[in-house]
Amino acid sequence: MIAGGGAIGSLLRYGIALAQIRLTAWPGWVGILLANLLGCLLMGLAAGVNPTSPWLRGLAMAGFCGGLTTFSAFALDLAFLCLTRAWRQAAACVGLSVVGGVGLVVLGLYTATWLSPTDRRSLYVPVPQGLRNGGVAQVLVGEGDKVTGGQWSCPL
Amino acid sequence: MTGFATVVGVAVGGGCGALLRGFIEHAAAPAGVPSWAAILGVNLLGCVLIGYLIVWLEVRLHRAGESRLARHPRGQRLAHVPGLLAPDPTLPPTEIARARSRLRVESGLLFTGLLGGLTTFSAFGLDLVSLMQGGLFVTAGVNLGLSVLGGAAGVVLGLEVGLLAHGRRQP
Repeated sequence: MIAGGGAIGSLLRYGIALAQIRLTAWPGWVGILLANLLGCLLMGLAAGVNPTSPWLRGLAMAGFCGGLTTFSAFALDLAFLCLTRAWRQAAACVGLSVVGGVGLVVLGLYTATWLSPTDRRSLYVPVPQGLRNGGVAQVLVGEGDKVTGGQWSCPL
Repeated sequence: MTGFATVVGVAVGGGCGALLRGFIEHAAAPAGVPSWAAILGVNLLGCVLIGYLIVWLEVRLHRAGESRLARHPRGQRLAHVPGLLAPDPTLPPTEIARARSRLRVESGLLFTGLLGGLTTFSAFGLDLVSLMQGGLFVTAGVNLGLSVLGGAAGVVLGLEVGLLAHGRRQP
């Protein structure tokens, strides 16, 4: 499932980068930036929806979003921008990627939480280390003094 | 034909890269390595590899004098490679076209596909958000700094290793 999602995501990124170079006069790193930002938004949405099936998690999160986004091309563009002394573009590339990426992950998380039915809303609690990939923790979830659930599946 | 082969290469490479990252992530969790460190390690590995591979691939296949390495400050060390910094006059146009299409297919398979699928930005962003939600701002800052500076430095390291392996010391 991860491989299938990664293949589809990589193809979409290739398409985005190609379309950006063909259709616009912007420098080449903008296409990678767009693919990364789109992947961050989708990753936030997927983490907020918090699918329980490990197959679906692998397909959507590690596979599709992971394949759609890339770090190596971002770092390669950044290194070449620095080597050619294009400092302003390098700063724009880093700033837009990091701030935009984090912002879109948060936006995706909140949108997915807002859209999902009230009883399925995931609670934003610190993620214990080593509790990834759908690990389940015993926690108390509730409003006020009314406990509504005792099991929490890690959304991240 | 080149376009189709490139698309297949991107899909196959992306699938293999994502699968490899999935295996590393799943192996890291029981070993006690936090997820952000596993993603950081995979991303840095991909950065060093892309730096080396771009030298390797362009030295082998760039015969039209349009190499990205011409913009590298030490790119002149590759001046002895025919066709890298200036078009190769000895080659017939058909050979240049063939090398160009091989470069497209192979960079699609290796860069866009394999390394693009291996490294990820979305998991990095999600880890940053989850670390900050957990109040671990110092860890988030370390992750951010190591990723961005380490990634760029990793690419430069890979480029330098490639230049050492394929370049000639300047007289």
